[in-house]
Amino acid sequence: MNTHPLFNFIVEKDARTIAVERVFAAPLDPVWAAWTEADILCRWWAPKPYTCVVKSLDFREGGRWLYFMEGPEGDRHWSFFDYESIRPKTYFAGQDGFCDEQGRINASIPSTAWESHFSERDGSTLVKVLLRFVSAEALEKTIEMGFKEGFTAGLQQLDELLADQGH
Amino acid sequence: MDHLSATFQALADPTRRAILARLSQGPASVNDIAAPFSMSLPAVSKHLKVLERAQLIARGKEAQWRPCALKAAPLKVATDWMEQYRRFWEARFDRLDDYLKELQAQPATAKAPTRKSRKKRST
Repeated sequence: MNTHPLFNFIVEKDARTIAVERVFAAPLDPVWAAWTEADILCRWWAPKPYTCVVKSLDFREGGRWLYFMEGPEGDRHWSFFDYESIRPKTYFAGQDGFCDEQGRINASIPSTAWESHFSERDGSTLVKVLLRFVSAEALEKTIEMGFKEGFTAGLQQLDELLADQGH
Repeated sequence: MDHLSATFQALADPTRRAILARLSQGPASVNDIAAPFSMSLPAVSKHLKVLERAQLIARGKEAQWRPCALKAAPLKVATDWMEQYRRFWEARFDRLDDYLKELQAQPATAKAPTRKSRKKRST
């Protein structure tokens, strides 16, 4: 089980899109649940050492997921995901962006259009996420928001943690 | 504006990307660069200024010719950044893997029975 799962991360600067593809060694049902149910999402959505806390999640077209990620220094990054279209166990799409704890959208950072596709094959599940940015600046700002210097340190900690676990 | 913002802003324009693509083949004069575009020299010069400000290109000192050349360093910063975002996703997915593994280690509570648990049930 030490083989690396398929993971593609394709940046198309001209099209202002990022395509993320990943295969998970589990059937569709639990993978779909992990992406759409609050109690599971909060267990993995934030990479270590960040934690994710879900304030509300209304998984239906027109519904919203409101949550924050908290860093080791107690810094909170409130985010939302507005679900626009859902095809159960196949696809969901919407808008993702930053906001405050009331869910008031931070307009200085443009939101990102998301499409997530799910398909099962031989007991494994392929998830394809297409992120569409309104502009190159939006792409830059989104990345800048949560993932700058402090975050690199966090990722290094994660590497150590995984190394300890023999991954 | 920080360097990274300048880089992305400079890259946001198709003409400037085409200019960079041209310069990736080697230094060129403003006339050479302008040739494939239906654009006035001053318009091309404006694009070159944006690229120069973002430090994506360097211009020679020779007054007459002033060849433009590509500078790769800021592009590298932008690429490094993407790498960070990629690792963010990777780290996130590793956590989901852990959860899914945990879930499959306890077939009694799993929603979809695995082949193993079905076998168990039939015995």
